[in-house]
Amino acid sequence: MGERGRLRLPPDEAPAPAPSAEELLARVAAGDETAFASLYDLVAGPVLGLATRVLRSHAQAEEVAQEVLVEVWRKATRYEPDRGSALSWVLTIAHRRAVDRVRSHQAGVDREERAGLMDVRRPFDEVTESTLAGLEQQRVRQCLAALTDLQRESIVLAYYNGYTYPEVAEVLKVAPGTVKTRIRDGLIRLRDCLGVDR
Amino acid sequence: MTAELHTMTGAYALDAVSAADRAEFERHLGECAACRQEVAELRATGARLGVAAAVDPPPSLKLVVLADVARTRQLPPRVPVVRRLSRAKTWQVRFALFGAAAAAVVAVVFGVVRTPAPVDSVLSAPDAAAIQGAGEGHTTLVVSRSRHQAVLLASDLPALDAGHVYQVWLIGGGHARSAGLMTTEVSQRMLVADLPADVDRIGITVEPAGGSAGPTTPAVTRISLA
Repeated sequence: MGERGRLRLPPDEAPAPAPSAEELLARVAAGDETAFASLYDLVAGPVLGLATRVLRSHAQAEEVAQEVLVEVWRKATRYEPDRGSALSWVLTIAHRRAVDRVRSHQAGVDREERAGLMDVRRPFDEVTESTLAGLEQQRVRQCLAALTDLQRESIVLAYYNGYTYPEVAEVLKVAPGTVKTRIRDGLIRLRDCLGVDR
Repeated sequence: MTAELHTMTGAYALDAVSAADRAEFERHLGECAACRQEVAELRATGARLGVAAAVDPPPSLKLVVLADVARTRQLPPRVPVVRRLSRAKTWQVRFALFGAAAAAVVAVVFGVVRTPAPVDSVLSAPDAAAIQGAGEGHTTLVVSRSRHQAVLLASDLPALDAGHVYQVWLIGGGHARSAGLMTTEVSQRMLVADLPADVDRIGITVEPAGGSAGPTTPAVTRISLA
């Protein structure tokens, strides 16, 4: 695999632009471990950060990040470029894994009690105050701020806390159907604000 | 496409749906290109929230991951598979509609394809609990002891050749009882099984086509109910 990968590279002249995550993932799909190490450098920070937001526990988040990144290696052959960017694909895997971990861990815990114990108004503040620091983060923060309160809280609780929309509804004391539509409306506004293609 | 289902795109893209809702919506996605497009865009939007949460990973993580990768076999690429289904021609038609890669769902009760009605009964039981399996693929078992039933959701099990199937076993009380067979045409499967009180774990093995009377190979995936 490695032999074939090397043969396809262009001759060593001018420094080539850094390969995109999509290009790296295509090489990973052909078994290229060096390409995987470069892909790791692009995606590991977001994967671990997202897992930490959802799981809170650093130890669990690192475990999940490790599983996700190895899964990216295993499943690189299944990535379909026409269905979204490589980073979006990786973070979709990461979010699903983190959420599955939260839900399996919490199954059996009384859900109402859990909702009552958490200060649910905090997540957005935490996001704005501690996590959203860089330029990209500022854009996300600005776009989140442009949503209605209900849209923003619904999206933040669903994405960063890993709540189902009925759980979000319970916490925000609104009808589940309302949360469902607010998540969609809010994401569409967020998509347009951030200029997301896929 | 109903408006009711279509509004699920956002919640689905953020994984903010129950296992039952997810399965139902994925069935719908198989038939709705506009919904697939919207889900892709909203997922990409969610991914931006993920990027915004990025942290500097500790160097140890890279070492561990690269070491894991060095000894982990990659999945082969997915190629279209045509396989004979032994039962339920209507399901064959539905598979054709969904396409081999679409997330379709089959409910199998002791090998007999039925409507997924019992699924709701289990998922809505007050004592329903979800347990993750260990091993190949992603497996989640939703158990209701009060309803004496369990629903197994499996996705991404490695594809098998035409001569083999996955067989699900209810293990406990000193023996293993078959709960049904799973083929790999679809990316996600659901299997409903009656759950005798003495069952304390579930195993999935690879067996010759048609299944075996008892497990003949080590389990590729295990789920402990204890």
